[in-house]
Amino acid sequence: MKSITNLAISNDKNNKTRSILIIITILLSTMLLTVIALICYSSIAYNHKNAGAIYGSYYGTYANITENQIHEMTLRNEFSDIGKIAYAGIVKSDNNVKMYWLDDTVRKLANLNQNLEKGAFPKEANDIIAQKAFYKSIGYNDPKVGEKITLSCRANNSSKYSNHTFVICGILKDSKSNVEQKGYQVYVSKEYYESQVPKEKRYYSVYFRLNQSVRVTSDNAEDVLKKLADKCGIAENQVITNNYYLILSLDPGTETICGGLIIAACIVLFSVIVIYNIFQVGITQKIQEYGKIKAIGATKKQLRAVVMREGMTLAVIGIPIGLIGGSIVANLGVKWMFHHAEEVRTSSIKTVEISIISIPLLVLVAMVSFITVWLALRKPMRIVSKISPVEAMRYQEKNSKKASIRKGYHTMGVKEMIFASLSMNKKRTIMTVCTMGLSCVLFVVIANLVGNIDNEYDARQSVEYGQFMINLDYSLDDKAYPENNLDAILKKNPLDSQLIQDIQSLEGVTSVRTRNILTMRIGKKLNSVLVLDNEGFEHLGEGENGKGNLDYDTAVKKDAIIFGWSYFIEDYGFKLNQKIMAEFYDAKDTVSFEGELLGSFGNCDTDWAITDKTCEKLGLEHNNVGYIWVDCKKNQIIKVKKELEELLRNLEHIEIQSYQDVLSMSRLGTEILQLACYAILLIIGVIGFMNMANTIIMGIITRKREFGVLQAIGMTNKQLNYMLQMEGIIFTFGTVLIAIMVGIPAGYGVFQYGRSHGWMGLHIYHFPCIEIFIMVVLLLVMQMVLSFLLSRNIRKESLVERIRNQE
Amino acid sequence: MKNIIRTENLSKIYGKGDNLVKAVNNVNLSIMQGEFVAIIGKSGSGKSTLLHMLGGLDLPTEGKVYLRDQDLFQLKEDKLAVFRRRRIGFIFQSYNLVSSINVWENIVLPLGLDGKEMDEAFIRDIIATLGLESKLHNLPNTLSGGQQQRVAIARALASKPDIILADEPTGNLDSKTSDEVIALLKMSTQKYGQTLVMITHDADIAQIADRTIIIEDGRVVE
Repeated sequence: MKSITNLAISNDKNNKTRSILIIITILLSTMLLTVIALICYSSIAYNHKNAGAIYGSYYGTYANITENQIHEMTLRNEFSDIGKIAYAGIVKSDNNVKMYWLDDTVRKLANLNQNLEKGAFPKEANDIIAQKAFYKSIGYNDPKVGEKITLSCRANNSSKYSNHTFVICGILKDSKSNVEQKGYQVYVSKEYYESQVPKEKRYYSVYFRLNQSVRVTSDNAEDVLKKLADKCGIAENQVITNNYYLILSLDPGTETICGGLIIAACIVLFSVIVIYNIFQVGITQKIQEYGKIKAIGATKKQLRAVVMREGMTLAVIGIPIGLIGGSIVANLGVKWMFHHAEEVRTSSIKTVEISIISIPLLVLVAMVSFITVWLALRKPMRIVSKISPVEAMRYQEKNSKKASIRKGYHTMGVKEMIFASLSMNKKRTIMTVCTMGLSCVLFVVIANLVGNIDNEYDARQSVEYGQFMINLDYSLDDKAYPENNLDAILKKNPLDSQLIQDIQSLEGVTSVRTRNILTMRIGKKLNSVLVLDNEGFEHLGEGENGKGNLDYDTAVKKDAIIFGWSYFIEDYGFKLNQKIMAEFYDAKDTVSFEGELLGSFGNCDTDWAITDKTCEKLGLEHNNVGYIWVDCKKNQIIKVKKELEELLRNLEHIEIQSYQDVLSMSRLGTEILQLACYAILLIIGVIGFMNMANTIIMGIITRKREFGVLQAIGMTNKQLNYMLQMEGIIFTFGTVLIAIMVGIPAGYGVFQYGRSHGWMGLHIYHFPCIEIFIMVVLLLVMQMVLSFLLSRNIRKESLVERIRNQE
Repeated sequence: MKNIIRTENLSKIYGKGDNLVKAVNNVNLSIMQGEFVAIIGKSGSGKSTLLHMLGGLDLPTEGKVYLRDQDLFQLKEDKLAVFRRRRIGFIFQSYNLVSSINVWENIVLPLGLDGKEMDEAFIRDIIATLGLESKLHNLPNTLSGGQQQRVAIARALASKPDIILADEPTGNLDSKTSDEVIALLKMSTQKYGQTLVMITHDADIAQIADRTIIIEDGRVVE
């Protein structure tokens, strides 16, 4: 066995060029597989690890429940952590200051401990903890732990305010939203809570996690939580699920894994073809050597073992380097991506850094790479083991058709020679052009996609007009804090005419547009409804994925209603042309509505939409402004932004978005995507080029003698160089032809598909000229450098040596 | 008769010191136009090296080769290649045909490389003389050894060179085929008035030559 290994190693050494090319191919494909595996792994691990840090690690909350119900919960083993929080009253202040008592479990589950700047949460009866900004707002500019403060507070609306002295036991960090909205939550002790609220009036919100044994996924979580609530005597409408946490932490990452697996499968397939090709192209010479080994008594099994070990020796060199290289690249890539994601994220919570290196995953990648090499070796092993020694000595590479006759040319020059030698090796030429072409097809397809991302279009999806969008920040089913729901907000709409006038009078503001929003109930469910004028209606109608009739005039004529998200229309139990019966609300009035569901926009900001004319007819003309767009002179964007923020500082339930911010976020997203895509393509391209390089190199090595003869009968060096360059150019031309003929229609198809599915910023198709030009130039340069180096290498040997060179 | 090729103190030395080998040692010879010269010698005596230098394929360590008064090694590499394709025809032991092109294409290849208009009637005549009419579209590896060597002869004759250099053209052939090939070679060179310099082991073949040059240890003995 040792002699077989030695033989395999010495074969590898003798075929240095082939060995190097195969090692590079194995190395690159392993590297690519490693990068993909580690990036998929880290994104899933990041979500799992950070879901709790960002959204709190509770599965859900049961609001307004009694101590008996909590007792019921503790009796059930489905609940693993149960934490209580209770409303303990209100503090008399210009701001909205609410007092709560909460236990350690809630603090842990809702990440409140992270907000602690100094001190601790209340333990003693009179302890209080709040944000620095709260203390400031009541006149304590430099609050210290242990300092006494007096607050005027009451337990509920039916009791009177009374002064109470608290001891500051801790200080919480300021959060941006609370400071801007001037609403604070302060936390008091259990004793204080119990002293203020009589036992029969105690209601709690319970934060909980479920036991690992409970089968819960992000899809069924709501049902599971509701069923459990039911068992504890808690009503359905008291159940709130922590959706984002559940989606991120319970999602096994199936989509990410599937995506990764598809890319990995493509890479494996591609690498198998390339490695197989590199082995196969040199097989003519090799088979004769194997024949000799067989002639001196090697068995079939031993011959297979020689080929296998030749490949595996190269894999043993290439795979570890690929794993290390891939890990480094993935590490840098992930760091870069998370760094940028962190910049974009607004929350102050620090996310947990994760280690992206997973040893089991690296072992798996190594195994996949070994399997790739094994797959590539199967056919060469079969060929070698089957051939008889005598045949082996005479083995000629089989051509696509066993030609004995060639029509040929009447006159024979360099050009004719080139075509003759390419057609002689038709199968090899086609295989090479196809593998190289395939990687270029991928390039063109991706270029069609990422090159066509229109960031401005993408940003305009968020900020439709002008430079800023001010809109209401609302919920539709906040049971714990119903004042956050849209219907409640509209009753005291902060986007009032005074605000609009103030905005219009700001220096630099050139125009202000508004759009109304309403609420509507179908049955019990509260929905948001956009009120659209002709322009807005048509704009949304032109978007992708619309369904049904989206004509403004028809909608006006029929007083119809439009659904907001065509993708979900069936999920919500609606169908086109059905009659919708609903109650509409604005600040003051309630109106019954009956209208046809005429169509559905692909996606709009609200659940439903009606026309402005229909709204007029319904008589809902109070202040229902939901959106304000502000345009200003380009050079005054920063100034106007500051002034707008100042203007909105004291208003609640408002969000402001700047077009420039959205645009730069979109650009950043595109950059990350482009970098990742082109990096993968570059590696695939290099693997493809290994194949082309091998074909050109082998084509030259095996024809060394032929070139010698040609030069002996009078071919000049210039003619030889020309011939080699032209052969390479034909490979390049074939590759580019395939890339363009297959890649452009495929890329256009994928673009259309992506556009119809609302993929990031795909809007107007542009032919990716620059990308294709770069690809062609790169191919040409790589190929020309290779041909130049090779023809120089040939000339190192004298003519006589070359003529004597035995195949 | 005019002198067509001559050498002056032609030497080719490989290696240094103890490993020094004088493959060709101070050879002075001249060959007349239309002459059929056989170079014979033992294996390793330096005859192939001499022939290669006569054809400008190999560079001498010392000395000169004149073809029609042109010093071959004064020419630059590419000029020498052009000179070779116009003035010298080669026939090798292992035929050295280009495997990817057919018989006709192999024959006209030196003319094509030179970009010259071919004298088609002349080439057809050579083909007929060598009996290759029915094989013109065949690829070389479908032909027998004798047929392949005939193609090589046709290729060497096609460009009407001043001299044909043949390096053991029958070395790979059986004796019957070998006789045929030599007969054809002699006949066609005579027919087209060409000079033929042939290396051979075969004393019988050497006998039909106009003159025999014997090489021993790189020196011309006779």
